Amino acid sequence: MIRGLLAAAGLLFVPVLNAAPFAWITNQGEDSVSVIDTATAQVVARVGVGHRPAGVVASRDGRRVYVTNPESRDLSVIDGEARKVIATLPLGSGPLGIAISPDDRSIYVSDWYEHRVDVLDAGTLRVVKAIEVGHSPAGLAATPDGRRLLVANRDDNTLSIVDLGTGAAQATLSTGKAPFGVTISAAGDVAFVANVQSSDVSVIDLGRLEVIRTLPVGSFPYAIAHDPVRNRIFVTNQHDNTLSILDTGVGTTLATLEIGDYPEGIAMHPDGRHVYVACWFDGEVAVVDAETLQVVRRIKAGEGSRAFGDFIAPR
Amino acid sequence: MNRIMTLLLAVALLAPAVASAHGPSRQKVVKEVQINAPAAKVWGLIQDFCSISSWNPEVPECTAPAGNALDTVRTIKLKNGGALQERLAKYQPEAMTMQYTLVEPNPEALPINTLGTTLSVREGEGGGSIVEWKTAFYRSFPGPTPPPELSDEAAVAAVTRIVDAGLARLKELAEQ
Repeated sequence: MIRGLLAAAGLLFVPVLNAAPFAWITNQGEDSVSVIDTATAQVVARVGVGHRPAGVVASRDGRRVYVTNPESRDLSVIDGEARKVIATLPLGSGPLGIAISPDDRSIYVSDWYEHRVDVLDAGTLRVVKAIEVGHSPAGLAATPDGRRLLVANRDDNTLSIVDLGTGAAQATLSTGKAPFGVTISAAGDVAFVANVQSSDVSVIDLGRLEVIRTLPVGSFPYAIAHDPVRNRIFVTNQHDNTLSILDTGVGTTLATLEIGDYPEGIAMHPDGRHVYVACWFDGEVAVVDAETLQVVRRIKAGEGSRAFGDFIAPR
Repeated sequence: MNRIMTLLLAVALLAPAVASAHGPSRQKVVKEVQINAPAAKVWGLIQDFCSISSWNPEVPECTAPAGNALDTVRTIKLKNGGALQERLAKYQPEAMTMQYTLVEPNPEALPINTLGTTLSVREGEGGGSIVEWKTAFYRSFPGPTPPPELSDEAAVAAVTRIVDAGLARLKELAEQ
């Protein structure tokens, strides 16, 4: 009832309707997205999407959530308040990674098989541009100024830095082997790339456009969350069932946490204190306290939770 | 099927960069078997990384250096004659658990890629034990439209056959 009142008040006065941030977790084994209310740690809804959903990004205001479905080759667009799919857009043969522009107006989708990134207008839901990138592009991230898009080309061992103004690569940097997840610091000065097959993280200076460091992590790293307050990164290691926590200042590993089998998608909660990790094998989301570096909660999300992208909103 | 394999190999040789792509959706097989024998006895049967050929009829041959040091590579031969190499990634005898990964895919043996397996034994009820076999993998087919024999479903079926045969035989041996 309190929630209803809050929602009613929200309708009248506040642009963002839902109070608590929600985590939108793609469940690849059951073609759904679980919606976790992060205030109560409960799954409050389950939204049916396309086949084998993998990538997910929520708009910053939480009004829209976009999900890639590699096996049905389309994108599900979810209304974040109604928690219903409002559109399904056919894309290429392997839509996988997804990111959103800082103004929530453009959606970027990598295509694993067609070696390009589709740019969609979030208003019209049409593809407005296709950007050729390297082989099997996976993770994507847009810089906070909205000018550049980073693309991890998994089978080229490179990172494309695309100028979104011209739609062309400004630079193509060599990373470790099989780069997958890519994350940009909140300040926009540095990027972190998880290299699956070399089990390390490439740290990239986005001013100089150079790899400035390569940090060893666990086995088969997948994705990364950045903690700007404590200057740390959290890296999911799929084959170790661990989370590597590194100090990005000195580049040392602070802790290696047992997290759950096949940890994959990871995101920092807007509270700046908690990190959410989707553990694929058991379909659980583990919540880590970024201060104490302990797992404080485990939430059963669904079958094959992957959540590859920025899955928490509003943020 | 053979023609497809030849074609695949040809593609792999011409463009090695393409060969490492795999299906976008990881698959898993998780199976447990309850055994009316103590956990220590069951672990004794499987604790040697290369003992698999003695308890899994789908894996008639295994060769490896002696011992269970991390990174030991074993070569197994499947019933269909195809060979695979697997690397020991974690070995915890006190927890009766081992983990291993596939070194290189060999679709002619098994249509999978990037396999990771955890094999463990724990105490069950009434002095019995439970063996759990957890494995995760991608299909090996590098493109978006695999033929039926290289599909996700085919990969899952092939792995399931090996898991089921191993657990059933292990139960027989341990309960003898």
